Amino acid sequence: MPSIKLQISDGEIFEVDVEIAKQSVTIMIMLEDLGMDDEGDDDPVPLPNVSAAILKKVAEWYTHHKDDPPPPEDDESKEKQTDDIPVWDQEFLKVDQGTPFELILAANYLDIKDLLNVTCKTVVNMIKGKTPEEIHKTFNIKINFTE
Amino acid sequence: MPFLGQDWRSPGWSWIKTEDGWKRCESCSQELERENNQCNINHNIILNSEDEEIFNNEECEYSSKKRKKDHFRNDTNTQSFYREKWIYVHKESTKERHGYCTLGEAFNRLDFSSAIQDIRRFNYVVKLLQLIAKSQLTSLSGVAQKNYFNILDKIVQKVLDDHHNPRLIKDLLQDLSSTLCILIRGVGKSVLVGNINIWICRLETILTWQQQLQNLQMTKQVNNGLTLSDLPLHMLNNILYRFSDGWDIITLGQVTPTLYMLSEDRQLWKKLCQYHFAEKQFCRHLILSEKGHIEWKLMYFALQKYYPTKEQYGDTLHFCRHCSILFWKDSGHPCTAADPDSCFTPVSPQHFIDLFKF
Repeated sequence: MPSIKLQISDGEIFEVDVEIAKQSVTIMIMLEDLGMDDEGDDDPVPLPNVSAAILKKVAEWYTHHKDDPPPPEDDESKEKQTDDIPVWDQEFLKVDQGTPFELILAANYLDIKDLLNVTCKTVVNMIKGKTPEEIHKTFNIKINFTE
Repeated sequence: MPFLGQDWRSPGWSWIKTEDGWKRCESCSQELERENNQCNINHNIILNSEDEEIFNNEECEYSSKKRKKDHFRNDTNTQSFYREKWIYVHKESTKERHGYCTLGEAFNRLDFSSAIQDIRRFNYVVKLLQLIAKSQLTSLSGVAQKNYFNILDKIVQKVLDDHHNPRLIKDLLQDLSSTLCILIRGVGKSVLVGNINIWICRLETILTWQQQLQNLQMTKQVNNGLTLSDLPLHMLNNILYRFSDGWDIITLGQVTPTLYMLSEDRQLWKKLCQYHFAEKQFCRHLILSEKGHIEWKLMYFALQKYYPTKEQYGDTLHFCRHCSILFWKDSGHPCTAADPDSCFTPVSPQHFIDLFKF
């Protein structure tokens, strides 16, 4: 399967399947802009905002989801639903504190809608029903009243 | 153990004690558990005709025939170990028909204790428990009460463990303890099934749970990685727009000044009102600011007092109009309709309670 090279934040170069890479609208647009599609150019696509660990997680998520049927049209009423996270995704997101947020930022930067939805829903579920003190403790947010 | 069956020549059943009471255990089923994948055992409980249940298993030494009505007797001990998670519901008089079910029976059969482990069903089950707590406690049989409190215990332990939406459970426990206080005080007048001491004991357990939830221990995260407050504004906004309960938005607004500013956004509250309430309802309770703008945040809390908020669940019980059976979608039920899908309707928690009101 054809693959393309992605150069991430610390200069390391990753090779991923084109199919996986194209899930990211950002990468797809970059590929088109840089005219890389047809020539099979070996120049890596620069992704300065993404770290190695996160890119690996994103690739892992997409590999599992690549055969998913396309999601239905954006339903207004669905935007508030947070209890429909598939079991695999729940397990996937049971990680240390910082990763869900890095995934949110990566999914946002790479413009992968499904991943963004799932990660945001997970964070929402972590917030729901808690008091401010409980939220502070859950997310290790420093209380700063001087802002 | 006494056995309940048609054939006096049968060797009798073996029983196994589970958290939901004594359940009859087919002798072969235990062997099945052990032998596992080694033999190709095809065991199906087939409920085809009105009168037969054939337990089809090559390893099994005997096949039992039971009348279908055994399933519907108000006696959970006749359930076989492979639980069918559906229940037949009807509204006619119970004397002439051999289907007989109450809220408690449905509660037992529909296996809520595994439903709470499913994120799609958790909120649904909690809402059901809450509705039962508010008005239906007196209609539960002894076994149903035990199951109710077992499930409640599991829910509390789960929340203590994963910290998932504590407020939901705190509200449920509050409703439950209020109802119990009233019922216990009026013990001579109300129909509270069971020894009063059991109920007092349960009330004490509820108070213990409430205390545990108040002092929810969260391990302080020591890492210095990214956290909620590090997200850019539009991401925080994205998250805020996903809340369906105004209290969560207010609470989140108290966490950092940035979040406070975002939580005061008029659009956010407008979307929330539009999600829960209809235009007609807005008009009756319109609140305008001095400049003539609609105060959506105030309206949300005002409207909440008068109208029920929208309930949305990942997965609900379904009712088959053709067979008059209540079931979970993945567990299914033996449907005899020509076009099954057209007969199913989802059942809201209130609807579920109403199904059993005679």
